[in-house]
Amino acid sequence: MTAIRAIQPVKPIAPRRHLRPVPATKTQRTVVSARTASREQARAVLKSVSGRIIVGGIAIVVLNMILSSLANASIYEISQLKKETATLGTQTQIINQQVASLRSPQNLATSAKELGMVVNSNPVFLSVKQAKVFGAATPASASNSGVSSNLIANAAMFTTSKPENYKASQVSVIDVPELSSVKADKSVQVQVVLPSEGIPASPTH
Amino acid sequence: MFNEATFRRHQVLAVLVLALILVFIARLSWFQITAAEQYREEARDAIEVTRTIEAVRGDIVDSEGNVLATTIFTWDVNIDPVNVGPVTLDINGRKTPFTKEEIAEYIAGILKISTKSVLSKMTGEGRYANLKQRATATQFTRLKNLDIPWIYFDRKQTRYYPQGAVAGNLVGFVGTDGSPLAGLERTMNSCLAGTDGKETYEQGADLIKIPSSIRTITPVRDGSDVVLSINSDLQYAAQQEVAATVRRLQADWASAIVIEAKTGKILAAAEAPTVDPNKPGAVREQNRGSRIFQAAFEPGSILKPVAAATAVDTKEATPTTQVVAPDSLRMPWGQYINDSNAHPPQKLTLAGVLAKSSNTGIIQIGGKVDSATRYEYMQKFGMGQKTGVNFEGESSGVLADYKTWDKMTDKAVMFGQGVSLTPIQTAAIFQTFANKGIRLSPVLVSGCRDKDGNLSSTKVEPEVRVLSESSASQTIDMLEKVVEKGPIGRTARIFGYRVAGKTGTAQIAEGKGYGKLYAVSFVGLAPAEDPKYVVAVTAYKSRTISNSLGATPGFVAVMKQVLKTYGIPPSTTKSKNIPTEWK
Repeated sequence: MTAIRAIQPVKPIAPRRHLRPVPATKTQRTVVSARTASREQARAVLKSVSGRIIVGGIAIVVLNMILSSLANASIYEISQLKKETATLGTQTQIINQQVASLRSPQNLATSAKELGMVVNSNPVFLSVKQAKVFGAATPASASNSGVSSNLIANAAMFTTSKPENYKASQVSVIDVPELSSVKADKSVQVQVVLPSEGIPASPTH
Repeated sequence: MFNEATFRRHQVLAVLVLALILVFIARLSWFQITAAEQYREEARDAIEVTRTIEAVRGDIVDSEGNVLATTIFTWDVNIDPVNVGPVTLDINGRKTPFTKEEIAEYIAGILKISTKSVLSKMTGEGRYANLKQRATATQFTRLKNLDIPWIYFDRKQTRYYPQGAVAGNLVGFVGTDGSPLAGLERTMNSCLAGTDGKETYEQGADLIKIPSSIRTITPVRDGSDVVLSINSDLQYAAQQEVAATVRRLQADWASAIVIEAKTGKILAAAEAPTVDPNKPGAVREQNRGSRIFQAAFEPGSILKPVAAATAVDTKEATPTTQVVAPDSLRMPWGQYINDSNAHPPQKLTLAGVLAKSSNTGIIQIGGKVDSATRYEYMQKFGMGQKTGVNFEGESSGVLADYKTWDKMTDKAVMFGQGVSLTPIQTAAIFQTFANKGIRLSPVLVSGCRDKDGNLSSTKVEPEVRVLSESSASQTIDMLEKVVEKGPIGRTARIFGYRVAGKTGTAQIAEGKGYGKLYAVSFVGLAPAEDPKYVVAVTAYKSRTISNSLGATPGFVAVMKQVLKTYGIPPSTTKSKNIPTEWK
């Protein structure tokens, strides 16, 4: 029997596996779960990195656009402000030249003459320190006031005063308060500093 | 839960992104590091601009800070002829068309030039035509506001002198290209001129400068200010007087100098005619300098106090030393020395010799001092040498060595002939009397002040002790008598003040002899009891008055102005009682 059975062709039959779920051992469970977790973590990291790179990239582009537009706006603003500065500088120069013309001695002398002013060549000096009057007061007169007309050239004088605007009849009278209503301001301490020698001269030109 | 394919896709994506980043980094490195310089150069050539920043020239100011010379901007107005055409201007909010001819007329009106000239320059195929050089800021603003596309401007620095001819003789002027040509503009150029800077920057296609790209290659350094000792108000008053003197005397020129006795500071150095630096071409060339420092001539009797002071200082005479002074004195070698007018012999003291300005008297008393000593004193008074004021073209005058003096010159130098002085040298002599016998180097430039306000004071020559204090005082006593008792000197009196001074009527050398016209002068100091100011007035070639009467009114006016300006109280003492004559 054994031989017959031995020579009979035998249809190979794959061993049948009887797989059945078995509870995983502790070690197996750990390996599988760790592998899965690390992949998930890696995926999460990848997702996160990719996301951050994309978001960062977009942010950089947006930021760059904002900064660029801001910078461009600033550049144009600066340029505009520089133009305005130049314009204002030119206007300042015009005004300064007008002031220089008006305060030039040539203009002042001419204006003073037109207003009928004459130089007092015999001034009287008051010495506060010595309580003395020096000199004899004499009225100023046109005949004794020296050179009155301007004789000095000034090609830079392009603006001149208009003394006719300052004549007494055309100047509005300012209301002056009654003396009794004026009270001394004690808060202001006027200190007259006298030079060691001489008498203080008027600072006016 | 876990998707292998997704994971792999993420991995691939990450690798690709990383690879891309690496490529970018590599490329960026190429641009930024490896080939950076090459690209930078290319970029620079395309957008970088190099600009010279012009340094602003410093100001010239007076002792009170008033500006006498400064720098402003003017504009060269240019057009682009090939693009010239009709324009539409905004007139009061309305668009108004202008033809080429109309706009030319409008521009001509603003620039104050002829319409024909504008039209001729508007025609042509060129890209440049200059309409006007140095247009003012007002003209520039009006034209710029028109916004005409074919007009463009070049801004330039221009020198501006707000007080015109006030101190024009001192300040000098610059050429049209800004180069200093005369006066302090030239001598003080190292202080006034700054150093130009250089910078590069990048600009966009619209020519806008990119601020972050500015690179300073050389920093600009603006010029410093020159501070003068003069007071411009006083200078103006003095110039008015000398201008009036020139008119009154029909003189070639006149000058007035004010010196502060104890410091040597020149407070005014006025002359007429003089130059307005804004328009130097308006006066003749000989009137563009300063004769105060540059013109030397024989001063005449103004020098008698030098001979008198020398005699006093060497103890050969006192103010009361007596002499008989005829109107003409025969010299041992046969020549005569005469006084300016005929008169009987006068019994004069040395003070009287000065008061009467006697030639015959001064040579008798002054001649008691030997020639070598007199020459030594004249040198100590500063004759024959520059004053140290360091003004361009300053003359040292002429004082020949006493060994070369002939017999006549040996006498003539005592009354101001045979020796030449500039007006500033003459003024310095009287400054010596006023400063107790010590001569100071005149100061015109106080110093150079940088933009931080630091003043580098001008180096001055050391002071020179010429006379003892006593001799200087005695000389002033004698000079007071000139003003009190001198026939011409008394016209130099100033009410309330003690004044000391000396007249001078000097013959002017012409050819081998002397001409008919005179240099008339008066130099004085006040108050005599404590001299503070010296005023020297000279009129050259007076044609109406041939003696110092032509100069004393100018002296009085200027000295009064000085005393008023500086608040000098009138004198409270009287002069010393020194006789001028004897019996």
